[in-house]
Amino acid sequence: MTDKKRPDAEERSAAAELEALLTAAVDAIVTIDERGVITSFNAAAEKMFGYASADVIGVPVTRLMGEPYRSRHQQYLERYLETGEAHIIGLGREVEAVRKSGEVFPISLSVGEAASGSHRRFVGIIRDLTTDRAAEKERRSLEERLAHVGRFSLMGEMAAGIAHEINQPLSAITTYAQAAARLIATDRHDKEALAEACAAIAKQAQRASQVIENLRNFIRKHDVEHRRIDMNRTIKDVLPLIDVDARTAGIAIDADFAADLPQVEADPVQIQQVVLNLTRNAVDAMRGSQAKERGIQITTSRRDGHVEVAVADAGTGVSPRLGDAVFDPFVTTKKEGLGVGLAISRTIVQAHDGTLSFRENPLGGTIFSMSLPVVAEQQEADGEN
Amino acid sequence: MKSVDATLVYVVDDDDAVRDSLRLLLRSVDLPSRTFASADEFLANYDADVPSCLIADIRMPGMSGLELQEELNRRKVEMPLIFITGHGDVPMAVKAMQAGAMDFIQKPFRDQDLLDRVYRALQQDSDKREARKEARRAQHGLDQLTPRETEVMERVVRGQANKVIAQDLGVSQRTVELHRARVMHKMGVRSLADLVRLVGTAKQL
Repeated sequence: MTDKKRPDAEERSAAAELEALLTAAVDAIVTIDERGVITSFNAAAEKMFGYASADVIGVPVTRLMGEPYRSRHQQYLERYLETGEAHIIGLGREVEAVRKSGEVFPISLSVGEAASGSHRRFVGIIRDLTTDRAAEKERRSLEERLAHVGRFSLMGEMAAGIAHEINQPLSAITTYAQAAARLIATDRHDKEALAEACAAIAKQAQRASQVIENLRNFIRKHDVEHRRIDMNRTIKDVLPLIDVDARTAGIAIDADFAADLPQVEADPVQIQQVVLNLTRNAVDAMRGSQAKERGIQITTSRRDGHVEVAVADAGTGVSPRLGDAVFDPFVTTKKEGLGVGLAISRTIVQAHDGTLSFRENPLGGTIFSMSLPVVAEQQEADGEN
Repeated sequence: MKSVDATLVYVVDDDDAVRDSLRLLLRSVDLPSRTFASADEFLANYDADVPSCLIADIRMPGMSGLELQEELNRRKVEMPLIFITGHGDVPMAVKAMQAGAMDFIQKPFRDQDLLDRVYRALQQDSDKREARKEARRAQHGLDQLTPRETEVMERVVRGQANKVIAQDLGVSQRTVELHRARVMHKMGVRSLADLVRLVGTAKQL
């Protein structure tokens, strides 16, 4: 009797301990049997899903799942029981679950297996990621707003150059029109010259409006979207703005684009912002430089599964005292500007899983480079080659 | 403006449209022009012997307007220079004026304002060329004088009377008068005033 009673008492005590553990757990813990039917549902799970445990025990666990997991679950379970091939057991995964209210929410799910005797059970530990996701979304939105403010600030610094770039075609238009008026006033009827003047006026008006269009595209609020982009194309599109800045300072821009660059996943406007920021800094660094005529080189290349964009200047270099602190906000050696350009740029690049760094230019000056990972399957194709 | 016939207006501006519009404006008033996209291109092609003036953008990539001006000064090319400046380039323009630029004009400008400057520049160039010609003529005359005539000439233009010069050089007053007459003849002048002016011109050479 005593031999039989003792394990019973131990069992009871173990069950009580387990019960206390389940109740105290912060994470939702749900167990199912091998048919996928819920066998236990702890207090945290009740709170998370909005069901009382009595309502869901004995019900297929798929009730807690969102699509596509719901339709596939039975299949997964059967396959596992048959082949032992696990898709989730032992690994944590981020999936979607459904509350009683019908609300779909993100969860982190880890599954363990308990086999005792002939029947097996599966234990699911579930963490609600709703707040994490919201915080991440909020952070991302803040970063996007910051980037947007950064673009405005960048354009502000370039105001003189932009004014110049709009003034050029306006000035040409004025002169063409005045010349045309004089040609008409003479009795020579120089039709050829008049036609030239009219065509040129139209072309210059378009040129001025293109500057404004470029500017508007750059500073407009847009939904940040990481999509596959061609880096060369993206930089080419912002070259007019880069040129504005450099030309005003009398510095030439030389772009050297690698052919057949693989695509990267990025928000093109933010990438343009980073590049413009780097060239802006390069222009400033070269303003007083003796080696001004060397100009600024923008180079794209592919390197170890990454696409690199390098901006090389012949400027005064980054003070070694400053070092990596150049990426800190409000660190600046310039009279104008807030010193947030590089900080924002680095945030943007990091949000793209890339890196932004600088090195000494062997020819004198500095090279800043942005490196972004190549889109995954292209990387694989790369390896096969 | 027929008074500035056979002249040329050089235009240096890196902006194709600005350059081309200037060419057309000059053409509308029958002023021949040659345009260049860079200072280097201009420096390789200008002809210092043709009466001309230069319109240049003050801001250009590569050699800037100010650097072009320095180079012309170094080469002792006295072509009158009109700078075109953008908004906010005034400090640069002031610098250019101090370095001898004739004028500057801010973009966008009234055609008449620019043309007035161009005519004035061409006039200035033609005056300068005339003055240089005059100076060369004066120098040519001075080169014809004998050492003694030169001695007499130097004293005459300083305003010394024949009597004083005669005592000074230890010759007779009559000899001084003869030298003096030959000086006037060789220099091609009729009055003392003309002689003084002409000798002054030669010094500018």
